Amino acid sequence: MSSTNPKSIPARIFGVFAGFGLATTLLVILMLLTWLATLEQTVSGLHATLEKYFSHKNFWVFPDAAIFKHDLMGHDKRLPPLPGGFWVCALLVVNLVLGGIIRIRKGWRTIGVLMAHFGIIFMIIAGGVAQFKEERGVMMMSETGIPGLPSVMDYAQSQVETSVEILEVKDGKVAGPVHFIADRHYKDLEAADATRLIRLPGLPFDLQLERYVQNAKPMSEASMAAERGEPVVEKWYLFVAPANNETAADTPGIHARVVQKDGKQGELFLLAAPNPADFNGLAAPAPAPFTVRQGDRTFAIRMDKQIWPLPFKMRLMDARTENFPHTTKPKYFESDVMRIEEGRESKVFMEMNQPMRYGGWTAYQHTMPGGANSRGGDAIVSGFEVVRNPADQWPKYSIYLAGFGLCLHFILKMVNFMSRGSRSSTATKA
Amino acid sequence: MPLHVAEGGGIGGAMKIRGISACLGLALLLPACRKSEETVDQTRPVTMRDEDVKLDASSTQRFEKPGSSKIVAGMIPEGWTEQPASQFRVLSYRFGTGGDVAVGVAAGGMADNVNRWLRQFDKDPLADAQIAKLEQGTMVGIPGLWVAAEGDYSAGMGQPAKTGQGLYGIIAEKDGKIYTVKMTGPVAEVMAEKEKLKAFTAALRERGE
Repeated sequence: MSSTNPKSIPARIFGVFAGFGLATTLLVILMLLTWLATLEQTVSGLHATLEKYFSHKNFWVFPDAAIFKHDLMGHDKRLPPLPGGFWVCALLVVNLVLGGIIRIRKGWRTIGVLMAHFGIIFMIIAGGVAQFKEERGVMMMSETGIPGLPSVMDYAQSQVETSVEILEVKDGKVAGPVHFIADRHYKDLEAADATRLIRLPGLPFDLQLERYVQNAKPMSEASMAAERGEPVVEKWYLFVAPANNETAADTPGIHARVVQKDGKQGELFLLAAPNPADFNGLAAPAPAPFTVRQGDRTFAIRMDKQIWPLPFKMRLMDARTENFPHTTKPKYFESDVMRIEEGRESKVFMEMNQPMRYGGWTAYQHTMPGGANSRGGDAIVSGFEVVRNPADQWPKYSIYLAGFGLCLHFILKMVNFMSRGSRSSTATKA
Repeated sequence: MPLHVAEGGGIGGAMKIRGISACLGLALLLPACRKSEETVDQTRPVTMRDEDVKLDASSTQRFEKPGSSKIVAGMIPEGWTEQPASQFRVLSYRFGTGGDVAVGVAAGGMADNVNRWLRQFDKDPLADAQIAKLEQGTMVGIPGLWVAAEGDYSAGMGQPAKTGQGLYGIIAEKDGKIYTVKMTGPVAEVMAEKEKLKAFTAALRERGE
């Protein structure tokens, strides 16, 4: 009589999901994805490539054939698909939990490995949390305050995300809060016939969004006629320019119309994010909006880079920088800023690798355009990268945990090995 | 009772392949689904970027690149330094220790703009009858009104209020467009530059004239 019973289906499924086979396969796929993404970002840009390979929206990734044959650039030739990086990582977490936590033998001999597995799981989860929850923007400020580069700011702006904003204006001032439609609700409307009705429960009208353009240049018909069937509004249209490799350099645009709650559609109007190149090359002031009047209420609708309001104001007091001699490589950037919160002022010194952490936000000294020279000295403009990520410190903790676990495991193994060695030599002597 | 997997025979194998193909096809199609309608109820607090919203701008006013306006300066008074144009400044100058002159094209009515300037100096708005009594002038051939004020000046756009400031400027209206020349700065400097501003305004002309 055979002693081996056939395994049940749940046990087999558990075996597959907890197995080394799946872990190895997933790690090989991740290695491939990382390698292909590294190659592809040189032709498609970093942000677009990260979105393509590692966004939760993509179950499958079709690598661009142009990464191996540059002649194919712009021909939409694809390599065979691979699973999306986000979902590979998600499956790896399942595999690690089932195999590396639940199924693993538990005892003092495996405690180090268990800790390392916990650390890796924690790190992957931190990446997932960041993908859903991270808010990242820049604050470009000047000491004197010039259009687009104010000296005091209470917001940061995303470099790659946009939003359509609806502001109610009363007595010449914006009466809050500001309603906004994040670009995840319209970025897929790139086809000429693509439309989406955005229901806005807090407002007396809805918006219909049409024909999204990733890199739109508002063009007057007096300058160049619309030749690709672009909708023309008041002799202006959105010229479709090729997307930049650096997504931050794109100025998205979209066509929109107000839709009354009873379904009556208004006239088409154009929205476009302002182009810093038209101003100071670094940051643009808020764009002039399209105005909508509903009875005695007035609304302004505009497209802008996504705004992240901060719980404090920052005033740039002084910016200093210096390059290494005879190079354009910065030796240091440093800024004195005043953090203002409810009337309280605190002076903060910021430099590269010394961020300011406050109120759940982390502000890094990011850039100092136009101020550096080999002799050093004063700059006028200073840029800060501002991030809010609940999992900000998790990767650090996970590395500590995994590192400690692996060290512990190594020490336990070494002690075990040495004690076995001494036992065997005692036995030989006896 | 545990379930058992039947060994994959010919038909079972074909069914498995069909099942896997169907799942793969579904997974490939899922991202392609596009919603025709969505409900969005996201808001954020008002920030400094939301100050000074220009209403009723035409497409040309909204999208024209700064510096491509039709208004050009006929002369630049001595002591004034030209500054780069911006979205709301057709021409821009600095003078003295903190004086500023901006030529702009805006939207709205005469009263809205007169009172917007006065509000920046924390002054009470004027009624239409009071506005009609303001000093009259012209700008690029368009009749306008001169506005003057003194006090603490809040320019908006994140700038802190400045004390001891003066305002002298003209607002002209034609075909729903508002043309402005606005001088601000320390009171004494503004007073000293009044005549220069008038001469500058008189010399403004439309491109091609």
